Amino acid sequence: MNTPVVCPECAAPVPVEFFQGLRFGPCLGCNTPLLARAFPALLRQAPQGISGERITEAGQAACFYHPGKTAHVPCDACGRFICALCDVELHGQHLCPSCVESRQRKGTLTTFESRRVLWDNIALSVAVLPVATVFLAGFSMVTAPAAILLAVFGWRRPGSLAPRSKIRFVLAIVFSLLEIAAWVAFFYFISVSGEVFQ
Amino acid sequence: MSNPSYQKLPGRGLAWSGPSRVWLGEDHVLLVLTRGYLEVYRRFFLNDIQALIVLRTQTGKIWNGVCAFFSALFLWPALALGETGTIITLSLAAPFLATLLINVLRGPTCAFYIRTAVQTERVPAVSRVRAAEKFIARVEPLVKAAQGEWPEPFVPALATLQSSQPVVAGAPPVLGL
Repeated sequence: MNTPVVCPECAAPVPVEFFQGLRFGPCLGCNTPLLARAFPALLRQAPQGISGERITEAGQAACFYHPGKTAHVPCDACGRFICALCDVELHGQHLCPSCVESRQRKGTLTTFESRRVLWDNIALSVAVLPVATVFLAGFSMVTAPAAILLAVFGWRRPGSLAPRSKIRFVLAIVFSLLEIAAWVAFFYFISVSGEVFQ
Repeated sequence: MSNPSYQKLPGRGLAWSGPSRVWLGEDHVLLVLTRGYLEVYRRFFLNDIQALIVLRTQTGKIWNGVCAFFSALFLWPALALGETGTIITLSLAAPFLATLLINVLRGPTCAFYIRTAVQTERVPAVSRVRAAEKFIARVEPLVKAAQGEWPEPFVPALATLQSSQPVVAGAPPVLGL
């Protein structure tokens, strides 16, 4: 069932005139200035669910997952026959549920991905935060190499879905190398000054 | 691996959970919500978008008031203090004045919603009226191209739908009917 477009603030229906106007108009319920655009999908009826047809004749091709249902199409990835219920149409391809799942697991199907880990942010934080907090700076002896490892590990991992540069990885590596250089210089200075005092 | 097919859409917002942005894909609008070290995605397929709703909010005015108050608070003593005191109070007022100026230049604030058949989702990335208008100007033709023409006659059908009773979320079911 289609429902009217309502004001998100007060749930009062938006008058039709608002959909054609270019300026804000006051909501009839809460008087908040409101601008709205409606599209044909608003009047579209929800499609009925497809359950797949039952096999009525002997010798009819059956669905791999539902032996009692008629095969609708072969899966474009594995070639198994699938019924209308199992058919997942994606970017013009017909896939069976297990191929969709395996592609999702491998990360080759981004359409269903709802979250991703930002390895570049993690690497940069591990590199910068101990030094930035000053009193944890001593930990940078451990966190600097860890940040380099994280940057190397995350470099080829799938990053953000949106365009994003590798600058955070580069900064994490450069900053960590500087920290390591500082530690090396520190220990060298201690060893040299120790020899002088002896 | 980044997907170069995404194009930037107007709007850059900050929700309580973190920054957010909107991108235009081949057949959908992608809302990216950054939550710490995770990016959470919401996709709105152009073919499924039923409506875009923009509500003006008072957030910008409230921030203007807060910044103006603190600016005045730090600028007022500057009149009575010597040179050093003036420099100190001016440097304290500067961040508030800068925020006030940026906020005024960015224009009025709004809440932007995308409605589909199953949800009405707020898009925190679009938080300024100017960005919302640019967003609509960019996305509206694409949604129309994806969905085709309105079924004729659409105005009476739309008027009937809009005058019908909205379904109130969370309303208790009517028992015994």
